[in-house]
Amino acid sequence: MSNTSLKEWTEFSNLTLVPEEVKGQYERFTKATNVLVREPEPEVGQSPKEVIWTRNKAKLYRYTSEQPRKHAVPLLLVYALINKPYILDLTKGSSFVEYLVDRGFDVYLLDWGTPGYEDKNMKMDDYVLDYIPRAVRKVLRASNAKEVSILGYCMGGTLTSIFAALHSELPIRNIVFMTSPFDFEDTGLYGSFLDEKYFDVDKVVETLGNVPPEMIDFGNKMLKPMANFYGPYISLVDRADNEQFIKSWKLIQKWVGDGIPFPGEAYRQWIRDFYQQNKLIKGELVIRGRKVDLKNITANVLNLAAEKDNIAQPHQVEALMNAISSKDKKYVLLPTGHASVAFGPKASKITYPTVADWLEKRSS
Amino acid sequence: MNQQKNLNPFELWKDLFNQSSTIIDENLKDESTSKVMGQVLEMNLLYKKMLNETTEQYFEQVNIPTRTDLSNISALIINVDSKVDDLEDLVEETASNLVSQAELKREMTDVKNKIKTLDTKLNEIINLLTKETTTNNNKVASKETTKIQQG
Repeated sequence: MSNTSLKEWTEFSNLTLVPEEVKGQYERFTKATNVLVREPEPEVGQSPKEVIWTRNKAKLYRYTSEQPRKHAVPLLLVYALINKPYILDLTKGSSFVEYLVDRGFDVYLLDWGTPGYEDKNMKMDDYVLDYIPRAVRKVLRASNAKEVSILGYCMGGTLTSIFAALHSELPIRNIVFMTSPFDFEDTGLYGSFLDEKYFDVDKVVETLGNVPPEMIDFGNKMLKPMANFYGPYISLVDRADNEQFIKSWKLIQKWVGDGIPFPGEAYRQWIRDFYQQNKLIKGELVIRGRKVDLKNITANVLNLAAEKDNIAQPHQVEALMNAISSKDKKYVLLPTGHASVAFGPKASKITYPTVADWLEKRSS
Repeated sequence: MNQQKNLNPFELWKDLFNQSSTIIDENLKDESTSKVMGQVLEMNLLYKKMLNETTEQYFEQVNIPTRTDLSNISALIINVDSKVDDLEDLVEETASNLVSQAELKREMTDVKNKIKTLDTKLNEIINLLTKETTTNNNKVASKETTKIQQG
């Protein structure tokens, strides 16, 4: 809309004849359009940090703070292979990392980086046996600690469980799993979409190399297509007069639409071994020739599920509880969704304190 | 008060959206959806494969490195990077072992010193005891000699 016509419309809308309701609608539409086409993307991942280790595209960050470190056991964060590292450090005042650092934890984050075409042969084996153990050793060395805590979010938790089961020699004191799927027997619509009869994972990997983030995002959105494709825009128009909502909306949209490619071989394993054959919970998963037995996990475990989670449904998450040998283990069902467990008002009020309180008691 | 409700296209659209959303979500559970999605994916993959092969062949003919060539070079660099990282880890491990060896050496020296001190003290005690015994023996002998002489 040109400036002249905008001015004309503004003058027209100021007339008393135009009902207040219509004026309000117009203003909300204008604001929503501005948000979509004019406003810059929000800045994310701004907690101060330093890189303490790199390998290929992966980086290990240590978050720095003026706050004194109160807990002897450092905390390593591991997230899914398909996300960007800022998902746990979205924005100032609503960042999981910031909260943990402020509570006196020595926080580290393993950033997977963005895989290139040359990484299409990367397998889960590489991440679980070459990257996570090395990161854990680096954390132990950097913090001069004897034990470590790990928090795995979404698929990052599934990877962490495999790592912990295969590395009983490493001093892992606490593990927090945040909406991580372990049992893939009933995955809802994923099960139908990824059925071997209709979804040829070999063909996907051989043709694409790495699986593009758009394809993964499309698959996730297809779980509830109308709500996921159009719902956010309806909410935006509906609540465009709420600045706080717009801020959160922009952040969550950035998160959802800013994925990274899934390395081909790891994707093949993830779909076949987990979604199509459910090998992990059955104890049939083999990683570089070693069988993964979740019974080997003896660390203290906090297992968090989210009520409204379509991606890692609560029953998929809870299944871990009977599969591990930990004596100190707790399952908590949070009133959130898959993303809102880590970001937003509910995350700040419920998730963050739940994790920090539990860890605090076990980190001295 | 008589409030007349204005026609609100957005609200109408929202209602329509909510109704269609429920219907679509229900239909997604049907097997035919998975079948259609599978077919669409297969068509896309076929197209992508054709495009990949054509591009690769063209690049080869005009002597321009393809994506595969570049990724092969990158893979070589990554392998070197991994080896350097492994070496770094080995060096760190060795260094930390050396530190612990130095600690072990220091502790050994401490133990040695303590044993030496104990040894010295023991020698002193033995010397004292020997002296004491000799003095006592001499005293007893002299007493016995005196008795014999008196007798």
